Amino acid sequence: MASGNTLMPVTALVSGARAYRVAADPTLCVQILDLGLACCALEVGSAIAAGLLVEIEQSLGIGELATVAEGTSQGAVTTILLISGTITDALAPAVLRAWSQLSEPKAAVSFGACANTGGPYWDAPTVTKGIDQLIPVRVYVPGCPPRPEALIAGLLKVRDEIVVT
Amino acid sequence: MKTDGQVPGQAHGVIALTASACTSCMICVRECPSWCIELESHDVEVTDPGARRPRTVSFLDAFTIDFGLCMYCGICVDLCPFDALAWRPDFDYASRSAAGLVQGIGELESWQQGPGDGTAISDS
Amino acid sequence: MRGIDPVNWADEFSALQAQGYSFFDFLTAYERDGAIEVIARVLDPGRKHSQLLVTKVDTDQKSVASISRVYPGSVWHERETAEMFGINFIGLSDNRPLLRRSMIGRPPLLKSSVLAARMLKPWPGQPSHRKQQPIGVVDDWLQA
Ligand code: SF4
Ligand code: SF4
Repeated sequence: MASGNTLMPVTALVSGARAYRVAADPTLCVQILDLGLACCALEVGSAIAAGLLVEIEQSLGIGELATVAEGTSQGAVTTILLISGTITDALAPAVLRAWSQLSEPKAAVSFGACANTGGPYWDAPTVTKGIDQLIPVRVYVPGCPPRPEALIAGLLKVRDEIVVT
Repeated sequence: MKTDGQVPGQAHGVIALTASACTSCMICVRECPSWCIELESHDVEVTDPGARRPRTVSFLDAFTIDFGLCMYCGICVDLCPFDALAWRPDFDYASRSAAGLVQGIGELESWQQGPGDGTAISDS
Repeated sequence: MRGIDPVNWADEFSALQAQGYSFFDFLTAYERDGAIEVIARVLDPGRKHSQLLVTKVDTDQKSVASISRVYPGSVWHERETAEMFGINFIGLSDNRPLLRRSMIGRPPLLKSSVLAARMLKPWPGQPSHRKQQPIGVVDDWLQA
């Protein structure tokens, strides 16, 4: 019997990070890599569609990002690993690898009950009980799913945490 | 689509508690599929003026909802026989720790005064 | 819903496909009265007609014929049903688990499988003066 699943190529995933301005705070610019693992991912799409997150460009080069970074309140563009959805034990290694391949400054945001604690699948034998068992989480956004506005509130919380020294 | 950052008043943002309405019947605690409500209470004897015998009243010591675990199904809100639980539209309670999503009587009651319009969801 | 004799399970689907039921919808299983039954649905898109078929899984062998040679789309469903209910689909070429890390241990969707998470966490609904039991735990859970 064959065992173990083939891991998905994470390189393609990581290069999918996109830069956004947060409409509620135009000086806040983040690069978001959305790991949309379940229904919560729709709310991230809603946030973009509703204009709460404004995409800066399809993809930014390092130089262009630096220019954007100068105009931000932090002086840097933080890369957010947004874990929105259920982390099955089978998929957990891919999330871990995505996190390890992101460059600093970076922060992990756990979006929704599944990523926070396992949520509705808290008793399932195949689900990781919270992504914080694998990677350090900066902000936990509650909801099942959280509203798009809650995503913005969570990002603002990440901003407040980043201390420029 | 709404773009003003305002959420509808009847949105399922958070569950608020009216502690004075809660009789500690434990229905919500037992029916919650996520096992994310915890409640502690003790009985006190109250003697009403003119009453022959004292009556027993439950006093709510602690009531917590773990919003990290809650699946926002609304079973607790629907089943509470005393309307002690209600949906409120608040969404801004993200936390820096998973434990920070566990909310006690104080927070749960504070949402009762939130900006919701208090209307029930209808199809019209 | 039509009950099918287990020995005719795969042949029945071959016959249906020949009749125009070219679209495979789903296959899964459930446990009822101590027996496991496999259920599957196929459609005839032209006539907009569907057939829902069910068969009993052999209790001792825990096996049933795979329909994946007739409907290749059923491979994923049979893999999932195999790992969740511990059913052996005879003739299924791919038996890698999907969500479980290996096939070792009890199939999680059997009613007799205990949910470890529910065993470890104290039920907040446990009253001091009355015995009540939540679902998903063994009978002597509270005493344990
Ligand atoms: S909404 Fe559902 S999961 Fe959340 S506390 Fe109420 S019953 Fe439990
Ligand atoms: S169902 Fe209502 S009254 Fe009963 S314990 Fe829960 S909140 Fe209190």
